[in-house]
Amino acid sequence: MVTIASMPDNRSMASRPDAIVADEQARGATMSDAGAMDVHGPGRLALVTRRHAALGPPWFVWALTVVAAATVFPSLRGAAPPETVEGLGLVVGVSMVATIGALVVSRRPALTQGWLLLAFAFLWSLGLAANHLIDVPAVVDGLAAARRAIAVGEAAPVLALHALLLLLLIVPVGVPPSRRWHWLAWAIVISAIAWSVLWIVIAQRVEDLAVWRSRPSPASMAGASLTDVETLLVRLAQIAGLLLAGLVTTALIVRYRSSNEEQRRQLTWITLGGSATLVWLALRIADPQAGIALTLKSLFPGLAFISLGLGFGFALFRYRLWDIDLVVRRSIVYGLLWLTIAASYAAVAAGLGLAAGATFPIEVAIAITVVATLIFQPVRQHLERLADRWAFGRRDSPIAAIQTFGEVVGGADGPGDVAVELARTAARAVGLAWVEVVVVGAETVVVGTSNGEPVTSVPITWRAEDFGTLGCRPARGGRITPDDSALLESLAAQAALAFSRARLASRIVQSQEQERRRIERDIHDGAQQDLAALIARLSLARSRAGEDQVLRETLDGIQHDVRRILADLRELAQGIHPSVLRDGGLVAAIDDRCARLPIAVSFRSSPDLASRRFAPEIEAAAYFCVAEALANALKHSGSSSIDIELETTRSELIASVTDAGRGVESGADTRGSGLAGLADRLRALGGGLTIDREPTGGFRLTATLPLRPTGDAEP
Amino acid sequence: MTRPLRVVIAEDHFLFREGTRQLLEASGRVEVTATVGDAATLLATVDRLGPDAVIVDIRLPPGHTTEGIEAARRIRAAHPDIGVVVLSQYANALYAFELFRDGTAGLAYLLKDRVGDVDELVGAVLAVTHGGSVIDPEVVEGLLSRRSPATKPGLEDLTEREHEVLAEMAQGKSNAAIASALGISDSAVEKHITALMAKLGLDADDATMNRRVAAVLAFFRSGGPTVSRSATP
Repeated sequence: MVTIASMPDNRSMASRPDAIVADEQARGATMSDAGAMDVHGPGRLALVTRRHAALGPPWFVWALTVVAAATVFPSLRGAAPPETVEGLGLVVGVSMVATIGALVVSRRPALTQGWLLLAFAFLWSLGLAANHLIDVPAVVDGLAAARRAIAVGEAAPVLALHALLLLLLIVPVGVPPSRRWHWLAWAIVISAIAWSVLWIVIAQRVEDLAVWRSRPSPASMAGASLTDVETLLVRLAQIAGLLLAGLVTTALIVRYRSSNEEQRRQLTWITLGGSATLVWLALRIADPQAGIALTLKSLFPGLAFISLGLGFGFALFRYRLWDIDLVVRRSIVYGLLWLTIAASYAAVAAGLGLAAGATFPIEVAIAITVVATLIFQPVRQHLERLADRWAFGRRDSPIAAIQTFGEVVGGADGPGDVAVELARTAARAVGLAWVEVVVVGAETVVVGTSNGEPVTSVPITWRAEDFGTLGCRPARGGRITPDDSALLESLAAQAALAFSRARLASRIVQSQEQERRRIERDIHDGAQQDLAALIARLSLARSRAGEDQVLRETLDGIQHDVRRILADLRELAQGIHPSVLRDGGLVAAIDDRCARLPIAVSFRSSPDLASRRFAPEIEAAAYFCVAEALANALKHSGSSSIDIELETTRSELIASVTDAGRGVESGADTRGSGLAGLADRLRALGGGLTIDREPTGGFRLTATLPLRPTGDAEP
Repeated sequence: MTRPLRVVIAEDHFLFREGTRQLLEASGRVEVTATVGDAATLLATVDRLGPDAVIVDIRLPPGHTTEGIEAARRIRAAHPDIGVVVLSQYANALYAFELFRDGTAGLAYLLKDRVGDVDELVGAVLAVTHGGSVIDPEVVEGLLSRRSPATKPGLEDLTEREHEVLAEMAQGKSNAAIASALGISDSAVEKHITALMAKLGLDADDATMNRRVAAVLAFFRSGGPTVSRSATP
């Protein structure tokens, strides 16, 4: 388990760590190969990587690299500012490159590039350490030991640079740009071996350690007694090194020109980092002693290595070089930015402090350091916030996407809304140029402009029930990684659940509607007919009663009662499900309802609606909403007039009932409560109910229903 | 009355069918020549027997919706001499309008309650055999009590007596029947009819016995409910 970074010390930072840890947890839940997670306490920034990766060799090498680089620090005491900055930059840059290398190796062990990155950082650190340990008598005692240290200190960086050259030659696919460049890879390997041997030899020729240590440039061989042949070989090797660097640069350009859009974006950053390093190398060999070039020389190793780290970081995490997975991308991008900002801050503050220490008394130097720290603190905070936004704002992280989607879908009104949200969320979370959600029984939703056939199609299914498909195409030059697919599948599964729920609700309403019709039919064909038959028989009995006046009157009384019962029953049956709604449709049924009201009702509907029929559950829901609204208006508003309007849009049936209420004493809540059940019913059918206050004091109730059948068709 | 009216009854509910048959036959004025249980058999039976009138339930197998109305209109179209009384459990005007869509002559729309008064039922059968029309008073009452302001201009102007006369008229009653029902003279009925027809803007020629139900219905129907045939099973 490796934990990078530390306690955050401001608010914007504190709000983030949970998200990062949560990301990893979610990943752990979805990735079968994920190791155990170490979750830090709340408020801690923890960049957690997988256990098996953390315990593996790459992170061991990483740790060695960082420790080796850190040996620079003791020697920086009392050093001149340019050297201090150079030293700090080197440590930060090398650590960054090592981190990226270790990360790539742990994720993709088979990838040569990761090993080369790690090798570069490690060898460079090794060189640094060896060079600085020469000054520590406890470690390096005597000329022989010093010669060994020199051999390591000089050969390791040269080998590191060769590793970098090789890396730049084969990046990003792992082989040189074409077959014609294969020899260059061998040339680099041969050059590396030659240099190593050369340095081992040169190290043995070092006679005067003090002169060697203070030689004007690394290219100079002062202090070593070389033969002419050896001197010539060193010159040749140096020229060969520069040539190789030039050739590798050419190879990079060639590769860039023949690359596709995505690779170009990746290469741009790597090339920037790589060329910064090469420029520094050239400066080192040219060895300027004054002016701006000197400043550049002292700044360059740090800048070069940092930009190399950033270049690979960008390519990896922003442009998905080598498919390093999404979550780590988000967290590591953030981590790297944070690390860079923190390191730069430390470098600036410490650099100023050290510079001050060389000039002023210690008290003043401390004061200057404190002030510098305070002054640069807001700058650092601001940069961190920017990094924060940059890393997390652009795309939804998978866990955020799933979370947000869950919330949105929970409140969605119907399959149409769910489809829209699914398309939006998918597009945002995966960075898709175009998403199409095709759902049975709802309109197809398209986000973005189609630029071809979908490259990935995810079925929206739940328990063997098929609801549709999510088809998508990545943004230009992008691609859909296996992790993206997993996220899309997860979103689709969640959507399927919502669709299933909607279908179920719609089925319940449908079966309720069928049940009401059945009850109405049973009453009509059973009790109502029986009572009518009873009336006929009573009538017959009466006609047979002859002159018996008492019996006739008794039979008349019974018949009167039976008629009343029949009338009540008829009313009941009509209340359960009006026959006019079934036989005449919505307009006829509403009209019939209005006709039986004690007050004037104006009912407007477009002419084409009179003969138009909708799905039975849609008609029933609209009818009962209107009936309930009418009943409420009569009961509460004391209104003298009620307006009913029925209209259709392309996709919806809209029924509204407006009363000219007379006062506020009838609260919206009282009239709303009776409609709660109807609102549920409308929602189950993919519609909705709204109640608005009219300026006149009355209420307008609007029921909206989709015209396309939701879920199943009528059985 | 020389011979009993020959009537065919179409009704799928056994008790009601038998009750109605016995009631009609007990009156001595009607001979039930056949009883059938569905619309198809009814049409075949009518073709075969050529009765004076048919009494049909609005809701018949197999669909149990408005097959009776369909059958009534087909019988009227094929046999203009045969009157049809449709019995229904629905007091909604929609069904009456549907029945009278192509004309009112020889058609009656009654609620099943009317079997409680054998004279009323036989009277309706008699009326349709003579080309008259009858609408159940409860349906007429529903039409007259409508309060929708947009649909019925003129209705508010009627006097209470004219309103009563209109209700009786709409049911298909003759002037004499209206006079005895309301306890006024024949000439007073005639006077009221002329006045209300003018107020409602109806053609006075329509005041003839056989056409005035149609006229009254047409009045109620204009701007009223629009009847749509059921599109769903």
